[in-house]
Amino acid sequence: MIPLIFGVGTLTFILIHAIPGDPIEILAGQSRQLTVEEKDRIAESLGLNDSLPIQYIRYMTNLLKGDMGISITTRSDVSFEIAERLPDTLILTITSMAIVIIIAFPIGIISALKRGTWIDTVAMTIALFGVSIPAFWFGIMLMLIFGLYLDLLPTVGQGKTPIDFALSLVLPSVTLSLILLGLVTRMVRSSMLEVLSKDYVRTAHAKGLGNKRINFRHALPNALIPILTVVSGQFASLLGGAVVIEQVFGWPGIGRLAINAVFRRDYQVVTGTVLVFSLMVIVVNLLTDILYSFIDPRIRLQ
Amino acid sequence: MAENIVELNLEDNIVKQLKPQSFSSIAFQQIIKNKLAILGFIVLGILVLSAIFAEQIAPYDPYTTDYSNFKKPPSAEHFIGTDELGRDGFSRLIYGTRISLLIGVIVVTISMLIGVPLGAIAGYYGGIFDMVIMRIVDILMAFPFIVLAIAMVAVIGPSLINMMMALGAVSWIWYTRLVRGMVLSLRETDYIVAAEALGASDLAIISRHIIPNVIPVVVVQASFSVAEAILVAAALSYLGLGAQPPTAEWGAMLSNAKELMRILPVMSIAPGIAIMVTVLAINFIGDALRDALDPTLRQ
Repeated sequence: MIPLIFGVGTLTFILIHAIPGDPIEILAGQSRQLTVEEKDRIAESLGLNDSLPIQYIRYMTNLLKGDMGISITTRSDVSFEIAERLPDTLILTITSMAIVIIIAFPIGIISALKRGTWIDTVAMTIALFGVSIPAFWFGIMLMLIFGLYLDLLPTVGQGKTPIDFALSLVLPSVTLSLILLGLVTRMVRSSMLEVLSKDYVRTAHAKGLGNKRINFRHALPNALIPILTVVSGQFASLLGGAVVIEQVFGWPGIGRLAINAVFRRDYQVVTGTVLVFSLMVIVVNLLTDILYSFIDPRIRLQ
Repeated sequence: MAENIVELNLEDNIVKQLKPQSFSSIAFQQIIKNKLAILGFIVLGILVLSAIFAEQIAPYDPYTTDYSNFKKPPSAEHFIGTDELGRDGFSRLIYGTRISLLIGVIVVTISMLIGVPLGAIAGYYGGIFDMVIMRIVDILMAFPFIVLAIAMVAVIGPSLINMMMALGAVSWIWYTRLVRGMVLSLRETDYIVAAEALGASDLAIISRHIIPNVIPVVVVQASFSVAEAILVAAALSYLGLGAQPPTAEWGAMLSNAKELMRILPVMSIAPGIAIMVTVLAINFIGDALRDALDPTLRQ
């Protein structure tokens, strides 16, 4: 994990230095022509006069201290700006993940148990649509239906009071959940089907256990392990989707921060958010590894 | 004599039945049997034709503005109306097919050209090659794919071509992982061990034993990747990081339609349906290819 974080930091360093053009003008963000003295002063204050290896070491030690530089547009700390927006992105993605689990698990399990029936066919057809619909467009359609026509839910921005906040969270989180819904439903079904064909399930049937007990005590826990792998692996796509969906609904998370920074050419903010996104992915993978040992006693014993 | 002839025919029949079928002919028969795949091929065929013959099919030029005829609702002349500059929505939709299909093909080609050789090298030669390549893959895997693509576009500047390069540059890792895993397990198989023992060269083993095994899996992955690339590219263009105005691209059209949502909702609906139909058709084909080409799934 430590080498991974190291590599991720190195990559963002390379990204900053790969920007074509004069790094002083880019990092200083000045639109007008700078005088030589001004340039010198800025280069000195940003440490651009040092050699690349020294700049790299300073960049990495600053990162370890949580210092990701200063935004050229707001002149405030990038770490501070990200920390301010991070909870909104977390609330959005965690709510979406909850929606995915609440919907995909029952449907996937029922499809597997009723394999080959019309229920299975309908559920899997919908799931295939789910992976083929552009999520941001689905969000626009929800806006159109629930915001403009039915006027039930707020479509843009974030509510201030707890109730308004919850209401404004509905459309973005439902939209974001679409990214994983189809995929996870299909995965739950196939994983469940695989377990149901195992010998120990047949044994359980042979010794006369009830269907309910077999399906939920013998099959489901074993089916959960591959599902967990997929869900945690796809957390990254959920975060990636959040970047787009936040922009669609004007949700003030770090995805929106990143996109706005791209257009303002505020590279410190862009690389800072990219770094935080990857840290979240790394942390989720770590949590998943810990979670495995809770679900699967075989891993705990090793 | 008459009996002999009957017997001969019988033998002929048996020979016909026992004649081993090639892998590709079995796969082909399986795909033909899959109704959704046929539907997918038909829809994709229509899309490809409308991309090639966009000039002939589109009733208007997608870039000609007409200020006397703007923000018009759908009518017999303009199937989905006209946008705020009086450009015909339907014609822009037809031209959009061209760009979306091109994006899918180009992005997947770039990522395959990088990813497949790297995966083969990592899997076949192992050691330091494997270590370096897989560490890079691990680092790239730690980013949400779209976030990294956005960062690269930010660095090289938003445009259609830059977006395609960025998407290709971040999505090759899937092919590397896939191919490396396959090559690693293939190396252990008896027939490759036997080929090595017989003194076959690396080139002979790779071209005669490894590539034929890897191709079907890569083809399946590629078909799904085309669908994925079209979806992501539309999202990036919607954000303004891909195709730039006035390009007739579906994601950019959706972004443009935001302002017209109240008066012309059809402009927000139609491009999304176009994306969905395209992606769905490709996914149908991908599903059928996977079922047909993956021998482990075959009944």
